Amino acid sequence: MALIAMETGRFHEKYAEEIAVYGTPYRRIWILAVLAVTFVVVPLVASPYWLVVLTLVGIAAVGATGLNVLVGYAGQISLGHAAFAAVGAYTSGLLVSRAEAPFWVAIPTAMVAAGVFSLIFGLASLRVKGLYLAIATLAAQYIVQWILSSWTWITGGFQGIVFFEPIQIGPLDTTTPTGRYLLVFIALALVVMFVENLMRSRSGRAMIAVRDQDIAAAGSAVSPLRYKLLAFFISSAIAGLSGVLYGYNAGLVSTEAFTLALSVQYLAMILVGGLGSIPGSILGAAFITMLPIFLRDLLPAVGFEFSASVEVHLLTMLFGVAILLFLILEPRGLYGLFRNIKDYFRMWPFSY
Amino acid sequence: MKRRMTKGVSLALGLALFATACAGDDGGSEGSSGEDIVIGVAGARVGPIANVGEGVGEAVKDWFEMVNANGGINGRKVKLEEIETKYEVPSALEAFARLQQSKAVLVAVEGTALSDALTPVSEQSKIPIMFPGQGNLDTVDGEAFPYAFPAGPLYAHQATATVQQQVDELGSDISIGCVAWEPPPGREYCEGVKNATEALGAEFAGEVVIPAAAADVDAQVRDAVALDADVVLHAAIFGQAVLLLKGLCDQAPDLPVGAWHWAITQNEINGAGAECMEGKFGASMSTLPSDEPEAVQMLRDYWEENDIEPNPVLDDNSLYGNGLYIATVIEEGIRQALEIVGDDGEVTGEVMKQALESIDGYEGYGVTCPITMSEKDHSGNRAVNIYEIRDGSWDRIGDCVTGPPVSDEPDVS
Repeated sequence: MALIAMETGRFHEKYAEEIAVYGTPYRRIWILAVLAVTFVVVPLVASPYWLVVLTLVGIAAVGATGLNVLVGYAGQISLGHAAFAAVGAYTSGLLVSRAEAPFWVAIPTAMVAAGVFSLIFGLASLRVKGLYLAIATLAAQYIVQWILSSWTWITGGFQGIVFFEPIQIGPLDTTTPTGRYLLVFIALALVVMFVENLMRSRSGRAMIAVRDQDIAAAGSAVSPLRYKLLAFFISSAIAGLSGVLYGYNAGLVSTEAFTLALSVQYLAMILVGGLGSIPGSILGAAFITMLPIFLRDLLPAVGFEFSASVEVHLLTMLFGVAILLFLILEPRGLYGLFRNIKDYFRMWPFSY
Repeated sequence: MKRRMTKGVSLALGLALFATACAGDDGGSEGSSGEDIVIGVAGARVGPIANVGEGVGEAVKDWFEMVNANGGINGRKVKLEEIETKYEVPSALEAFARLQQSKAVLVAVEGTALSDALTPVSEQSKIPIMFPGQGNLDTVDGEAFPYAFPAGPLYAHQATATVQQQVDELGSDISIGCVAWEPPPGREYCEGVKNATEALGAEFAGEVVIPAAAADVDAQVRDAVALDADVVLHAAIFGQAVLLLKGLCDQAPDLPVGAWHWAITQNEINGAGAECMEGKFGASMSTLPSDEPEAVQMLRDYWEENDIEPNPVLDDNSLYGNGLYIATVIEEGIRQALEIVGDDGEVTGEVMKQALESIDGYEGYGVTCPITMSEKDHSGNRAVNIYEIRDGSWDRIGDCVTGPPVSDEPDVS
């Protein structure tokens, strides 16, 4: 009988098994089930409100997954991912609205633009690390914000509003909550597939080698320059995609949408979700996006009624406390917690 | 032990989240079944414009509590639902979706970034959004943005009106400089100053920009003094406004300084000091509560008659007046809507749009300059009151002043 609980007693004998996506036959079933729920069940049963919420989670998950490539896998840091998202969003929006380019041209171009722009700051990663690199990438944030608010010949005014022509292909209609949800989750699925495969490739392993010990990696003919820049490019291109998705979701972008707070939120998502883990990025995005909603609805549900002025400050405080507790109780993030729970049931009834 | 506790906590969180999801959906049907007219507020009591969120949020809440206690509008009660956004766009999109689920027929929005972001979704859902005193100049065009209602003077209007008042008082042979908060509202204000000085034959001395997150504005103070202008107008907010005013008092004590409507609060007087602020002036889209307009009197009477503790925000935060502006316009909108559908009829977002577009010469119990809107023109008005600090408090020196037309504004005539 095949083992439902998967790994117990299974040992990899070949390299191909080590890097296989489907470690066990059941993983394929799980993935298909997740896809079925995501693309069939949810659009059919979820209310428009929950489609909106899930869409926001999906956009955040794309951005967080991109940042996880850089931080979790390549060991670099960025406080400029909101800026890279802005580059993607504005490139796509301007191509669609001004140059009347089709979305299938505008989106890849926007991703490339965001990736190329990030290389300027990625170069700094060759000379500086840690906090110093964080500050170097912070420059991206300030430069982009200044450009958006000052170069009105690009953005069309101080508000910098650029409208996104809706995509309307069958059910993929971005004027509806279902259409926006589908667009975002198709993009997320493609990003997850790409990053999953990237980490199974030579480039992915090289990034991890650079993260773990860049001098040793260089001694093993792995070029830190090349792989740090590659990580910056890929990570920022995905951030650019999240900016594009943001634009299609809201129907427009404006200069105030991509603030430093967004970059910090992306970092919070991957820390809470789990560094160097794709499911962690998604769980972290869901946690950071939905926790305020959950707390807001929970208080009245359990009988605590406050005036609006008290409630908002209380919720903000609870949100901070919840993040703090998670980081203290489970530093490996939500994905680490998930793995603990999975291990518990896998070993049940002999778990301890 | 620790792992068990962690698992227990996570299981509880998961179950509660599921329950929350169900509770959220229930909320929608409850909202739609009653006779109440649901009005949404995308609030901003936390974050960079918390002062605005508090003043506006409290005023709207107080106003509709009074309206409901007095029997509602033509017998219909108003159910107010405020959802906090922290001035973040994703939260605003979520809040709007939740309010749509609650069958809100209009959503009042606090903050330009949010009104911009909600403009397309309001059109898709056919629920009007209203954002007096903020937002994008293009939205005055009701045909281009049918569900967006500025319904009050936008930043450029505030700037042109203030320049007009200065030119009326000092003559056109003056130079006016401008200090802008870096985000779009601040820049748009200074563009309006530049526009109006040119239109009125005065000189534009130049613009100084304060970065959004600047904790120190010494350099900007020096640059503003170096403009050598006869008058400096500023579009700084809250702490930055206080620092700017203090700096200007130190370095150019005799320089006349005026402000946009987010910076004529008690904060500036308390922060920069009454002596420094004496003679400083500013614009307000609403009549300040300290002028005791009829709307404020009504609230005070209601609180006294019902033995309710007066809301201290009314006296502490002059932006409460902007909240009363929003509340009274919404009330008039609902009244017009009930004229369209009858007192027991169903009010929808589309009906509210029609209703707002039929408001004509409305003065909001003394809180607003006359507001008129049409299918083409959603601006409401372009007028502000000008206040000057005399003896430590804001004193009105100009009533419903309107400046020259803004050059980039869509033609809605």
